[in-house]
Amino acid sequence: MFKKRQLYLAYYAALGCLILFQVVYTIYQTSLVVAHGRQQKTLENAQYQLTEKKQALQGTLAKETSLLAFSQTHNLTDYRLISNPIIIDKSISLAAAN
Amino acid sequence: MISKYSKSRSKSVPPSIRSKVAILSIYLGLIVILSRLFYWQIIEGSWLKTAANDQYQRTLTQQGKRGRIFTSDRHLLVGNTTEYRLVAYPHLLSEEPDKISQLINPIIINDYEKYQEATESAEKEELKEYLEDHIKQRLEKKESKWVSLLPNLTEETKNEIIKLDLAGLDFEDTSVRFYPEASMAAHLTGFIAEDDQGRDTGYFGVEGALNKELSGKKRKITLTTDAFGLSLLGQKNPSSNSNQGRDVVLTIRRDIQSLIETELKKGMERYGAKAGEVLIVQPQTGKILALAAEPKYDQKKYYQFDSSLYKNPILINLFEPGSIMKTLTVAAGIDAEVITPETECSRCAGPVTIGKYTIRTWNNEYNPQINMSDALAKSDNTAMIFIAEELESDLFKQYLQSFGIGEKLGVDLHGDNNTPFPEKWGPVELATRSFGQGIGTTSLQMAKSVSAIANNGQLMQTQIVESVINPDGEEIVVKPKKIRQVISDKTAQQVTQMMVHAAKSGEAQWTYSKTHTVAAKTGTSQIPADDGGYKEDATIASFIGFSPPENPQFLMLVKLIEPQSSPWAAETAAPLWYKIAEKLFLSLNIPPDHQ
Repeated sequence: MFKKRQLYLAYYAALGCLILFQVVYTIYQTSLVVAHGRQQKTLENAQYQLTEKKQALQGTLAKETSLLAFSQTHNLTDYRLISNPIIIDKSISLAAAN
Repeated sequence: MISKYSKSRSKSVPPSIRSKVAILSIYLGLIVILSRLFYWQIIEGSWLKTAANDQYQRTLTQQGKRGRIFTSDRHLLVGNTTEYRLVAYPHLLSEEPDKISQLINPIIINDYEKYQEATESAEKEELKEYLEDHIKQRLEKKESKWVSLLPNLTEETKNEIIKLDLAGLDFEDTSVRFYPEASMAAHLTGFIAEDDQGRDTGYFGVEGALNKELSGKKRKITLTTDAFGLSLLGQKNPSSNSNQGRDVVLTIRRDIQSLIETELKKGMERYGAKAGEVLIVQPQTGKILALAAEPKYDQKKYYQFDSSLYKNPILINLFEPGSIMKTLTVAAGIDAEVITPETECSRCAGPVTIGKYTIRTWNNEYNPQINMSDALAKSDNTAMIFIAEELESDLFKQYLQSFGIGEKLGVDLHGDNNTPFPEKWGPVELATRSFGQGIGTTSLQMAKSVSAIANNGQLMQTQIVESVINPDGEEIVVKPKKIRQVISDKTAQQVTQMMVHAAKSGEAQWTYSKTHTVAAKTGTSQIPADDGGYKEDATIASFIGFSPPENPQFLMLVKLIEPQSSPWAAETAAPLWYKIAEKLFLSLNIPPDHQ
């Protein structure tokens, strides 16, 4: 009788442990999913912010390096057309010579 | 001992009326509860759900930004910027309208468009006073909850006003297009304006043709909120790149585009032309390297220009191509084996008479037994009639259609359509069309056709979009597309040599390149008058050519409408062509092949 009771106890203890483990594991897994979801959202937001920033910087760069801006800040008469371009059709490097 | 109670319990006693009433009441209560539940959950359920959602859910509509437009060398041509509208809530103002107006006017005046455009100081002063008064009047509208004060303010101006710390003022931001290169490539880019429902829509050019690709998508976001409207579960206003429009990379190069726009303007002044066009394409791929037309408009201030300027004349305007069409006539004749470059013309000794019409050469000089190569160089109309008559109208028509005359280009530009192709092909029409009269085409169609000669007889689809970039950064490259083989490789090479001969010894030989071999042809065509016939002393001077002939790096068409200095292409369009080509040889790294 005593042995049977002990067996029941052991069985329910093992079952309890298993259920407890399952509960803890499920909570852990869910928390991971939630954390990953949040992390993904945060990263997506960060990526969006950085893209916005990059596009704004590209816009500023385009304004500063535009041919229009160049022609306004430089005297174009200072520049002359290349009348006799230097044409290199043979390699004169040391490596090629050897 | 048995108690009296146990005795009485063992007896079956009928329930009292009281307990019956109690049970009935419980059942009735349950029925009432169930019916109320049915009422609230089933009958009134849907609207209650909506009402509850309205309380704890907030829906935001997010409009993605419009895609940008780049040149092939990745310079920004059309971008987005944020502009601010200064608004006020008159009932919340802490200062007097008069004072606020005086405080903000010196800051916002620099963003006031009319003030920027004013040149005289008196006018500027008047506009300054007007703006101050206008703002004061708006702020005095105490009955209004919201008033707009001034749109299109920059970020710097906004920050300056914020520093003043004036209660009752606010800003609304809007994403607008900006053009770092000002009006460069206006006919290619098109512009943005509001449609009849107030939505930003692309019109003309790439903006019009690829409006769907470039437009940002609308996205609805639902947030769960608390009683104060703040989002629960740490949800922030989620932003994403996914609803942004796609960026478009064009095939044009910024330096070449700038070069032809500058040179076209100078050329038009030099030759007194009413309008002008320059188009550069890459024959092997059909890519447009640059495209410029004058007069043009400014995309940002499109509303200040006549709407007729919005259309791209190089794509849309039909013109009689004149002698540049002779390259196609010769190519058809050689390909169909009715002539060779050495064939002598047996009907070129004098004017050609067809019915009541007499057709002469452009200079009324005739060359009996002229060979086809010299005929092209001398731009001999009678020799072209000879070729067309040998071909006969059906075959000649077939060749022109195969070259893409009248055919839609398939280019991503707004307004690309089939153009009318003549139906009547009598002997007179066949004769005049052989030298480019009585047939309409567009500059882009003409460039595409001659590109087939430069490209070993292969007709390529005209291309303006190099690639499309998705919001996630993925780039989709548009590959060049061959449409068909129009003429044989051998014919193409023969016609190319004939065009080299035409450039070297034709009317425009005086301006021929001193460093590079060029295959080209002049064209001077008359302009049809509204009342029939042709305009007196008004011509379209054109020059089409490519270089180097054996492996063409570019094909260029220069067209001047009604040049005043001379009606002839050899004296107007040709020198402008060579002037641009001289710089193009450097830009495209084309080494000279003779000195």
